[in-house]
Order: sequence, then C-alpha cells, then structure tokens
Amino acid sequence: MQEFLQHTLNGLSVGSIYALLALGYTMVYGILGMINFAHSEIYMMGAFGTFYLSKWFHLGTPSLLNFTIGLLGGMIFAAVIGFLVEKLAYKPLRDSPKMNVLITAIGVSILFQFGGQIIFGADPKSFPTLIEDKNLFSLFDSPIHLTDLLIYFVSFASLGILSFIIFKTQTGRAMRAVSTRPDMTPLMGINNNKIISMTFIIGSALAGIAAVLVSIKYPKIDPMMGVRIGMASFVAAVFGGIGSLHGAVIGGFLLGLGETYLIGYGASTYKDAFSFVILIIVLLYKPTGLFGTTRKEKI
Amino acid sequence: MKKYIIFLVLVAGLGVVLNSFLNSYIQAIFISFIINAIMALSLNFITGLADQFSLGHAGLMALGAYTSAVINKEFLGDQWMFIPVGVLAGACIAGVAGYLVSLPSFRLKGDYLAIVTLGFAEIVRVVILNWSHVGGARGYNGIRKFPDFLLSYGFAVLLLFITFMVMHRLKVSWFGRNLWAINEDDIAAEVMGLEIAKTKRYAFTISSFFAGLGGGFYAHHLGYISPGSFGFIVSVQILIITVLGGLGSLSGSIIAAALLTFLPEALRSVQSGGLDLRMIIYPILLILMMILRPKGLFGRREVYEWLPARLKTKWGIKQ
Amino acid sequence: MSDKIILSIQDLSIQFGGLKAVDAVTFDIKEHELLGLIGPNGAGKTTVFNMISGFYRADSGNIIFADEKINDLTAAQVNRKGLARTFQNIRLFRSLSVIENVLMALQQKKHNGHLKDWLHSLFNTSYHQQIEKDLDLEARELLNIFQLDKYCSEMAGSLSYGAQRKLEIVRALATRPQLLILDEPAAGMNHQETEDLKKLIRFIKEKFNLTILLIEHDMKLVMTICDRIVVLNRGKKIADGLPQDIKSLPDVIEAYLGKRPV
Repeated sequence: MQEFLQHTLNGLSVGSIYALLALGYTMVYGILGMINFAHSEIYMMGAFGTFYLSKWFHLGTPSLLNFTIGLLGGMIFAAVIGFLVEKLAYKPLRDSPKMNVLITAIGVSILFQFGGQIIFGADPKSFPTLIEDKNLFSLFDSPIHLTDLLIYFVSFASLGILSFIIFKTQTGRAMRAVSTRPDMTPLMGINNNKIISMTFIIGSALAGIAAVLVSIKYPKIDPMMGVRIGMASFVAAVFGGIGSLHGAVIGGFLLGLGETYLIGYGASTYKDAFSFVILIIVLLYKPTGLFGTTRKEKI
Repeated sequence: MKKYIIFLVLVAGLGVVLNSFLNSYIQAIFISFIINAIMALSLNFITGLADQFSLGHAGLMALGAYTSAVINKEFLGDQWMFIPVGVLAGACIAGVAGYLVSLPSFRLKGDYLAIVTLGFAEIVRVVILNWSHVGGARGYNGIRKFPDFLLSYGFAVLLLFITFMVMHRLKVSWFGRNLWAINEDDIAAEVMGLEIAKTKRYAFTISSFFAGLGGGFYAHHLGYISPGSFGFIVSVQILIITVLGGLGSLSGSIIAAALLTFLPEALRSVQSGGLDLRMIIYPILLILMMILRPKGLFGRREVYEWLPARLKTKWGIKQ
Repeated sequence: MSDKIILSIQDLSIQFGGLKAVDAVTFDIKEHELLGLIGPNGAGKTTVFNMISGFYRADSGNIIFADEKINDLTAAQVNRKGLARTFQNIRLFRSLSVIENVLMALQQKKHNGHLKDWLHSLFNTSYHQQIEKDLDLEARELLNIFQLDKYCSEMAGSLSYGAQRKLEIVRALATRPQLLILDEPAAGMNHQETEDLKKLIRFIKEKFNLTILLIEHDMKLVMTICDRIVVLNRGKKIADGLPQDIKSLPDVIEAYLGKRPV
C-alpha cells in the first residue's frame, strides 16, 4: 500500500510534466495541423534559459523568490524561443505543402539539439538549487517532498490559467475559432497570424514551466534532454486524442502513472519502449485517442 | 537494348578507372555514394512519392545490415560469394518490419508514420545494444567483405540499378499514378475505388525493403557495424539528400547523393573537436531549402526530362 | 425504367454533436431512374450523399444497394460495388493531366494489385504494355465522347470551370458505375452551361445505362430533368413524388419560401 502510494505520487508528478508538454503539442496540432518536432527543444531551451539567468544574476541561494524568478525566466525564455521559431521557420511556409513544414520542424529540432551542444557544451550541467528540497511530511509513511508539491501546485495552477485563457477570454475564443475554421476567421476580423503566435507563446511557456520543474527535481540538464520526454509527451497527446486539450492533460497523467508503475514494479528496462507500445496500441485500436474526434471533413 | 550496352560499358569503364588509377580512400567514398543513393531512393519512394514522412530509415538500414551480417556469418559459412544472399535476406526482413510498422501508421490521416518510425528506429537500436551476440554497443566485427574492389563495385552498381529501375517502373505505372492521385486529393482517390491506407502500406513496405538492401550492403562494405552507425543522424542525412534532390525525383536523389557524399569529404576539415559540424550544417540547409527552394533541385521531375526532345525519342524516354 | 429497386435508403439517421442532421429519411431509387434530392441549405442533402458514398457512418438505418447492405463499407468499397459520385466543390487531381485523371479511375479495375500484376508492371512485359495501351485507348474514347480529348495532356487544374465539372463526371463514369451521384453539378454555372449540363445528364443516362441521383439547387434544372423528386428539410423527408406534384405542395413551398404570414 505504502509502495503503491509512493508510485502514485511519483506518477502524478511525472504525469503533470507530460500534461504540460502534451498541451503544447496538441495546441499547435489543433491550430496548424502539424507535429511541432521542435517543441521538445523549446522545453530544453527553457531549462537552459533559467540556468544562465541564475548564473548571471546569482540566484544560487535557494529561496522561494529565486524559484519564482527562475520559473518566470524559463517560461518567458521558452515563450520567446517558441515565438521566434514560429515566426522565422514556420510562418514563411504557411501556404506550402505540409511535408515541407514537417521537414522544417525536424530541421529546427536538430539545429537546437546540436547547436546547443556547441553553445552550451554536450556534457550535462548541474542546474542551480533554486529552492531547497525538503521532506515536508509523511502520508501513510510516504515522504512528501517540497519539489513534488511544487510540481503539483505549479502544474495545476498553469492548467487552471490555461483553461481560463482558452475558455473564458477573447483570445481563447479566437484560438478555438482559428483551429476549427481558419478560412472563416479573417472574415470575423481575427488576425490568424497573431492567434497562431499566441498559441506558440502559450504552448512554449508551458514547456518552459515544465523544464524548470523537471530541472529542479533532476538537476542535470543537457541539450538532448528534450528528446525522450518530448516523445513521451507527444504520445500522451495522441493517447488523449490529438487536438483535444482535456485529452492531452488526461493522456499525460495516464502515461505518467503507467510508466511509473511499470518502473516501480520492476520492468524499468522497458521504460523507453513503454510510450511507444502505448502509441502503437492506441493507433491500432482507437486511432482518434481517448477524447479525439475525427474531424468530419467537409466534402 | 543499345542504351543498356552503352550504360554497361560506361559503368565498366568507370570501375576500371576507379580500380586502377585511384586509391582505396576514393574507392570507398564512391561506394558510400552508392549506398547513400540507395537509401535516398528508398526514402524518396515513401516521402516523395507517397507523401508520408519516415524518420526511421536508419532503423530499417540497421535491420538489413545486422540481418545480412549475421546470416552470412552464422548460416552461410562466412563466404563472400553468399553476400548477395545475406543482403537479400536483410532486405526481406526490413520489408517485413516495414509492413508491420505501417499497420498502425495509416489508420488516420496525418503524420503518424513519422512518429511510429522514429520509435521503431529507437527500439531497433536498443535491442541491438542489448544483444551481446552481435557485440552490443561495441559493435559487430569481422563481417565478410568482397575480396576486391571491382566485385564490390559491380555489386553496388547492380543494387543501385535494381533499386532505381524498380522505383522508376513503379513511378511511371499504375502504382505511381495511384500515389500521385492520393497526394493530390485523397478523398477523390478513395471515391475512385482506391484503398488509401493499403496503398500507403505497400509504398512503405517497398521503401523498407530497399532501405534494408542498402543497409545489408553497407555492412559488407565496411566489415564493421555498431548501433552508433545507425543513429538518428543517419536518418537525417538520408532525409537531406532526398530533399535536396527533390521529393519525387528519383534521378535527383542520385545526383544529390553524389553531391552530399563527395562535398563533405572535400570539406572534412570543418569537423573539429569531436563534434560533428555536419549536424549544424544539415539542419540549416534543410530549413533554408524549405524556405527558399522547397522543391529541391529537380522538384518531382526527372533529370532526363530536360533533355532535348530529339534525344528523348531516340532513347525511348516517354514524354 | 424498370421496377427493380437499385438503392434503398431506410430510416437513415445521423447526429453531429446534438444536431440531428438527417432524421429517419427513407426513399428508394428504381433502376434507370433520375431522382432529384432537393431542399434548402442545411437540409441534409450532402450528408445523405456522404453516408451513401461511405464517408460518414449512419447512426441508424440501412443503405441497401443492389440487395446488399453497404452501411459499413468504406468509400473505396462502395465505389467498387458500382456507385460513383462527384463533389460539390470540384475535386480533380489538379496537377495530373486530363487523361491521367481518367486513367487513374479506369485502372482501379484493371490493375488488381496481385503479385502477378506487380511483376508484370515491374518488368514492363508485353502483357502489361497491352493493358496500359487498352487503358489509354479506353480513356481517350471516353474523353472523346465528351469532347475533352483535345485537352488530354493538359493539367486538369488548368481547364475552364465548365470543363472541370465535365471531367469530374467523366472520371466518375470511368469507374463504370451503375449508380451515379451528382452533388450540385450546376453550382457556379451560367444559364448556357446549365442548359448544356442538362443535355449531358440526359445523354450519359442513356449512353451508359445509368441510374442517377442528383442533388441540386437549381429548381428549374431539377424540375425539367428528374423523373421523381425527394424533398428534405431540416434532416427530414417532407415530400416524395413527381416534379409537377411536388411543386404545389404547401410544405415544400414553406420550406423554400418560409411560412406565409397568417
């Protein structure tokens, strides 16, 4: 029981990270119909943004303030990178075949991975301790760590803010409109390009948040850190039904929990294969994912 | 018939020149050009003609390479005469794997093949890493090679010729027409009675077969393979050759393979300090090309389509 | 016209979200009949078409074609049963040539994709060359009938609007259907083109011994050429009968013109 609880708590924290990242994939897919392969590198850049921020502004002493600054820094940095990637690499291809955009996305992703190795160095860097991890209290003999609580709290807060933006604000309404009928929205006075930029900014900010949270828990960062987690999160998005926001969150948690139980109960060597097995099963038996609907194409 | 004889003479002549006047370094580069061309053709078939993105060609190549190497050493008595048998077996295994990979990939429209193949390549890599019988991470050593360059060269040219001819035939006949129709308008193609998913599955299976073929030959060309020889970088390298040549242009793939094999060798000095600068140059090239010249060098047309009409009729090339 | 029923739509319904787009619609088409399906915008006409041709799955009801239930077939399978269709907004293979558009449709029956077929085309055998030659001839004949043969090697996308509409019909005919479904073929046509289309529809019906199901907005066209008309409104069938009878039905007038103020 105690062991199960421990795995569940871990799974929830892994899952909330997946959920944050899966949202980015699903939002971009919803609005542009493309897999943003560079999303995992935007995540990586978020971690490095905070890393250099804390280095230059000496945020080395752990405190709640430094944590907040680091979190905001990573978020903003990732958002800027996401914004630029979209503007410089994807926007010029808005009317090109989808294959070209996909190839570009791959190019951007590789450029960041290997450019990162040149600029930051290929070896892992230790991420600064922005906040001291403490064993706060125990729940049925399971220690509850401060970092885990922070992960839960920050992710849930971000999800809350996101759903407020998407479902309650003008921008959110415009985003949903553009993702259903991009041909009609300009007639309603919506600037599609602005909305697409917004989508990238929000998705990337979420990736930045995820990056800082993960880096605090596992304080080793390197330019390839996004590859595995990005893949798993994409699978989570497909699992939940790509294009569906709720699906991305639920898919993220389910995948995180599943993966953690798998490792916890001994099959850790198969961890990397797990998300792929899930992907293949989903594609075979319910290709639209849990909450996805086949968009009834207008014929 | 005449054009085949001329072709054969040219190939033989080039072989003799390479064999007698040039050193083994240049000979090896020439062979890697042919392997790159086979791999690029293979990717072009699925990405250029069938408009489906594969990121796992390195995985298929690895499958072909290891299968061929193992079969030759373990079952065929480690003889160079049987290299073609091993290579063919490798291609078949890769083809079967490709078919299995294609099963979940085309259930929905969209770019699922890219992700599934990416995962497949990773799984192949992990399996090989953990398979101590073929050396695991250390690599697989002492794979039988051809005893001299001319044999190796002849076999390589034969493989490239077969690959090109098969794809060319398929491109210009009914299958190519079906693929093209799907690219243009899949809904209309379906209404004509064409099974879209099945057609794409066939295309990927064929592509995989030739990726395995290229991989199998690669193993016997180098005599040593390791999981590192088939990393993501290899998939990217194949992708950039295909894109440069033009998605859908088979002759373009071969020309681009030549360019991108010989040029980097000439620029070897840019590789410094253990870091492969190609991995910076490639993606920048990819992005710039997509923005500035998205169709690659030749678009989907073949080089010989630019020949004067008189020559085309003479050589029996369809207008 | 015989009395044999070729297509039978029974109690067909589909929902999108909460909206019943088609609600228990029932009608039959007899062999060699020209049936018009009309109704105001959003009445569910195209949705019915999409269910028949295998693009949407009906929530309930049956679609029986030539005594066989075809509800769950894919679009490709439906076509192979002998049912072809055109689209409201033209869907040609735009950068294929005119003849290739027709060839693509023709070849589906000739090239079965069996191993033997693959080998023949790989080795470009004389058998394969013969098939290709026959296909080419057949395509040219078809195009000839519709006076499109002079455009054979032009890109389909470069044809005039009227010619594109015509080519789409030719391409559908090339799959050798028993039943042809035309989805607003007169959309975007001027008076003269509509007149030509009318002749064309009559002509293909006789020439290819077809049954035709036609969706159309142009009332004049429908009234003059259809043998029988089914009227849909808000997903429900509100009338079914001969053109002259339909015209005077109060329900139909109301659906099109709105309720007369009392």
